[in-house]
Amino acid sequence: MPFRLSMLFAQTDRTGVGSIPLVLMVSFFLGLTMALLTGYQLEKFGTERLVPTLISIAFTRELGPLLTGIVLAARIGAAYTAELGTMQVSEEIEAIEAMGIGPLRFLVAPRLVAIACLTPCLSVLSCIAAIIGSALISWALLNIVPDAYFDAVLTSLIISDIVIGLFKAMFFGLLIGLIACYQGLTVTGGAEGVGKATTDSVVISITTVIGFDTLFNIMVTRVTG
Amino acid sequence: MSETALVHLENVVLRFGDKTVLDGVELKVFSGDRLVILGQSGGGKSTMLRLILGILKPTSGRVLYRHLEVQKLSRSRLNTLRSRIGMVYQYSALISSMTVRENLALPLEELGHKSRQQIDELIKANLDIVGMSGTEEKLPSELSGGMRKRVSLARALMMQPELILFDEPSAGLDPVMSSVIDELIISLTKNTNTTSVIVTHEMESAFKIATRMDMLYQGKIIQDGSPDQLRVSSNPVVHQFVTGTTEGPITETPPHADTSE
Repeated sequence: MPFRLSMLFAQTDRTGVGSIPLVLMVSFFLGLTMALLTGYQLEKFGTERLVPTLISIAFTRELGPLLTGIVLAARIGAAYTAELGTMQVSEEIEAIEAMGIGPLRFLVAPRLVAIACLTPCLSVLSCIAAIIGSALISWALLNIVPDAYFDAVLTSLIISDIVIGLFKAMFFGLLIGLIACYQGLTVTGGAEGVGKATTDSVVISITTVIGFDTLFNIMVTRVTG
Repeated sequence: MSETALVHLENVVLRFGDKTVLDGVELKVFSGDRLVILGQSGGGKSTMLRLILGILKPTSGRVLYRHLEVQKLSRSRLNTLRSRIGMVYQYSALISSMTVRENLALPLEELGHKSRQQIDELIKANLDIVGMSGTEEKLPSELSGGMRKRVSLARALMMQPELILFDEPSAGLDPVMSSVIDELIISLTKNTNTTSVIVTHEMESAFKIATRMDMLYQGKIIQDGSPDQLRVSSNPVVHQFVTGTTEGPITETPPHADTSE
């Protein structure tokens, strides 16, 4: 094993398990709001039955990974940068290097593996939470009963959308991890430097995730027509 | 001295941008030495330790460790070499998220081939040596500065190094704790037959510990000799530094100030 399993488990726990409540809450309310706003517009044309399709495709392919990426950039990317940055300014990273232990292997690798593996998992939870949120509001305000709602969701979902969404989520996770660890390891200037690097890490991660998402969508649209 | 040096800095020049930190340093460390490097704050002393560890590369010149040119070693050979050198940092540099036990076990778990029981025995033995038994489960934040420094020394001993580098070992400590650390350095090098390089500008500690002293000034070693030789040196820079007077050639800020210290 190139790195300690205990380090990997610790990172997966804080990255994955620790992020579940926030991802679920944000996704639930966004799904609910999306269903509410689109439902009212579609109702005017008598097509509110399209809400389950719209929400499920939007979340599995686009909003689930994107929302998870943004939440993780803010919650975990910032934590990675602050943690590694503090270790950098207090010479802990140099001490690890001076002992002949590679800081990349010891500190960065478990974090990257954890965030790359856990982002798709969280993205799945995000989609489920959003669909449940939208189902509830559709039932309450658009008169779409849950059975009909979930039937429509299952009919409209296709494997390629799910796979594309999971792939994107994994890549977002990797990007966030790389940016956060790089920002942390290159901190200079004490506490102020750690603060600046942490802000930079979140801003760059979110911008990169959205930029990559746009680029990816353009490419996929071109390829699939 | 005709014996081969354990460490040899051979005409080392180090520049950061247009700032020259070391300007042709010649330094030899022999087995069994307790070599104290004196010099102004920010004068490049700690930088020399980082060159020995291969963390920094010289702009020109060579750093040799038993004939091995440190900066030309592959990553794996450099890591093997580093495992033979212990480093005690000015601010201890213990991993703050790990307990004392985990800090001490870290180098052995990552690099050594020792069993859990052997590691535990070594942890106990080294904590005994530095007088820190019973602190195994404490976090570094629960220890005082002097205690952290002693744990840092115990960590440096875990790999049974042949050379230990000390960066300002008594900085920020009260006089009693400072003396405790000084005594520890002396007894350790005697009992374990290790070589030490100590960077400091605290004269009392320096004269107590040293078997040899070098004075670094304006990026060069301007005097090498025994503590007695430095004490009576006729070099005005050395004399001013040793006596701590304000009158003399040493200015407040070293012209080669190294911000890494």
